[in-house]
Amino acid sequence: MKTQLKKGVLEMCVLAVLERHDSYAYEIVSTLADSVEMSEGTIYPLMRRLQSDGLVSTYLVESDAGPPRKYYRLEVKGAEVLGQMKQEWGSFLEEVNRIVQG
Amino acid sequence: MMTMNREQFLKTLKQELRAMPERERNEILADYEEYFRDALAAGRTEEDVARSLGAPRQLARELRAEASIKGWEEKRSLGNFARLFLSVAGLGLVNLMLLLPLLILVTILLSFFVAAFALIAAGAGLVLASIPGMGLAGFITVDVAGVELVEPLAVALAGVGVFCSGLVWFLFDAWVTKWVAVGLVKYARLNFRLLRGEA
Repeated sequence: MKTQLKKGVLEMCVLAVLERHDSYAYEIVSTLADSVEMSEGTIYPLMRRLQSDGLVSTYLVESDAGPPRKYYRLEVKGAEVLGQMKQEWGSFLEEVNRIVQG
Repeated sequence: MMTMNREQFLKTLKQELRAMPERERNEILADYEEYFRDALAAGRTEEDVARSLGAPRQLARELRAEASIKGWEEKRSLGNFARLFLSVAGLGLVNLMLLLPLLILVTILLSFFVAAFALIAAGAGLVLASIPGMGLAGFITVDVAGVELVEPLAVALAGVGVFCSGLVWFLFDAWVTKWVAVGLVKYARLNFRLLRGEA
């Protein structure tokens, strides 16, 4: 149940990580991997979807060694969606707590 | 699952994405190359990274489905609907219980389109035939309840009627197709979510 729950909120977690600061795929996964057991490879299908939905955008940053790295930035629409998700998540938690804790 | 190194992983992924436009494919491959670089720099082995990335074949299926969803959302054409349908079916998630009704539905939709085009063409033909001097009057005859229409105006009106009914069929069919596509997209993404973390 724990894993199933976490999978459902993966999208919200990715957006929340990007809300703090722009990031690249490996960093996003490393941040989430500690608490959310995700299949690392699916970060890209997920990021491409968030991008085509206009929630995030990308830009390249040149690096000293090797090719440039792709960074993801949270867009205005992404911030809006995240806010909505957080609200829903909060009220869901409240309701569950009320039932579980009596 | 077979253990792969970096090169084998990227090669398999490239092979699986061969049907994709080159620009998009290269972008995806560059993404995974970057991931390998970052992970190796963090001290992980190629095999470990490839294992946690998951099977390239399954990743390619999701990437293809995602690309076809994007294509459909950008342009609602029959071709893009076909691609969407095939890629969602290709996810290997649509079992026989679902595939069969879906195939029947798509076949019905397709025959509706053919019927609509036939009505539109027939309507246009009748209108043309009603124009004196087109030389078609003798070839096409219209019967309404056993009475042959000979008046050009009557033939033209019948033509317009048939044409419009074809148009209505077409619009109705396009509308149903659109909703089937919405359902396919929802279903595909629901399954992406369930698949995540199940490598």
